[in-house]
Amino acid sequence: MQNEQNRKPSKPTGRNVRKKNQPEHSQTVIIPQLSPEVLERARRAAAEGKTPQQIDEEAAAAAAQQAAQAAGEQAVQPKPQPQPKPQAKARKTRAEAEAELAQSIHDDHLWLNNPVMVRGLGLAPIVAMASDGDRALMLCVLSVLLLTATRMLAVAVCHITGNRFRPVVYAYAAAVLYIPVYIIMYNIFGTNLSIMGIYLPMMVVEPVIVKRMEATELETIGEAFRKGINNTIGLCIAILLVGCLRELLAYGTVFERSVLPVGLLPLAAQPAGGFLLLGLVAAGWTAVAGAYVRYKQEEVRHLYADRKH
Amino acid sequence: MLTVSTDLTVFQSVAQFLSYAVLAVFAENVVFSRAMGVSRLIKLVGDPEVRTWQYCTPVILVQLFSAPLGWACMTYVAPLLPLYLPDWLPVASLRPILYLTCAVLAMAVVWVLLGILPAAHRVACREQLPLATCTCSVLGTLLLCSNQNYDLLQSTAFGLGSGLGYLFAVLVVDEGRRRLGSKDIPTIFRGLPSYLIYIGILSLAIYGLVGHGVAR
Repeated sequence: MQNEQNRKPSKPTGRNVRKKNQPEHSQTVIIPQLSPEVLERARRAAAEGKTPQQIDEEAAAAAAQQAAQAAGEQAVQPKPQPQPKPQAKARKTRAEAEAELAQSIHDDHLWLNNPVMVRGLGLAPIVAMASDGDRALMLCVLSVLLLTATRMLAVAVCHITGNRFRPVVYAYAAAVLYIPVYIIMYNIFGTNLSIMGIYLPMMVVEPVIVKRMEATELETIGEAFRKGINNTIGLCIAILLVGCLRELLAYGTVFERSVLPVGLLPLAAQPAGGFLLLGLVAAGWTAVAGAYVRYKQEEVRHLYADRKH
Repeated sequence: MLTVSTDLTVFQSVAQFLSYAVLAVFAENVVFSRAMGVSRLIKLVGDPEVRTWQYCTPVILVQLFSAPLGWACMTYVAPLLPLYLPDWLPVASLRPILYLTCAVLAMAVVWVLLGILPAAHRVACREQLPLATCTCSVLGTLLLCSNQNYDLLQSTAFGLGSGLGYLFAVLVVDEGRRRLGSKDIPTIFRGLPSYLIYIGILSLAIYGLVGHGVAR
């Protein structure tokens, strides 16, 4: 993965290295009203589907009831036994919070860890073929039909083969699934499918489809489904964005509807223009995603400043 | 005793072989002209654990040996398929599985051939062999030779040239990677964006050399 800041989010960059004598708290106060207790209460409220106020009221009522019950028991029993202290719920440490943030960034295949813009997968069809909206739409349909199904089928086969021959299993899973997918796409797009050339059958070995073959650990089928869906959505967003942008710049149209009187950059329709444009879009995408990641890291560091362990 | 016509035929064949190979290395480079295998290339140049020769040697050999198999598949197998397939099943839907099988057979041949290398190189190349086989540059070249109706000689030359062209692209991008690590480059362009723009400029140079887009 090329985006180092997403892979190692907790590693301080040269610009953000804290001096030894500098206090832990940053000068930038982002959300001073939030504390870990507030966040924990909000998390419980979200988990139970209630508002924080309802959680507070219920907690107060439970405490009052517990106090009344304790008082009653004390009146009945002359020699009260010492009540065991309720176990305080373990609060997250800073390291745990940072690890959780890193995991959430890693799992966000839509924006922060987009398979195309951040991880550099699926570049061949996007650069060479997604030169207009129609072709981008075909690639999207192919990705929707092929990506998740391939991942699930390959994982199922890998469970049988003991996770051996992964590259061949993944590639053949995609090639077998390509048969019904091609029939479906032919019924949808007809002979327009021929404009995709070699890039349609080549998708069966495209890294964005079979990237998982490089991983040694075997995931479950449910996990493959969930991650496959996430990757598919992220891929489709990137394909449509680049496809429409290239068509707009090259021909002045979007899905063959005129937007600009003339194409501003005819080179955008060529692979060279595709590389350049995708590089610029990826730079913008990385900048926004990196700023958000730094904001979240700063927030975690701020909220968990007093819990190093 | 060779006749003049035989000499000319051999000479023409060698010239044709070289011209198709050179065409595949430069003018129709798999990476710069068609963006095939570029995802894997970007990962390869940034991976300190995998050296260029470990990955590119299997790629070149698989391309070389899969090209004749692909030609045989296109010439002898593909025309027979419509006779046996039902009407609702188009032959085009079977192209990936056919040419992938050619690549896997070539992988088996290459796996055996790598046995002549010293142990350290053999193990390193065999580790990368499955990944080198199931890549866009290999399958894309086979599909391209099929689309262009290349004969056996042309297919083999184009396959060898594509493998060498992939090595050429890896070396060029790897050289660029060292310079792209400069602090003068803005932070947001470091990594993937700078690679893409760099490859785009090289692709633009190829486009300027050829003067038109290549067949897809």
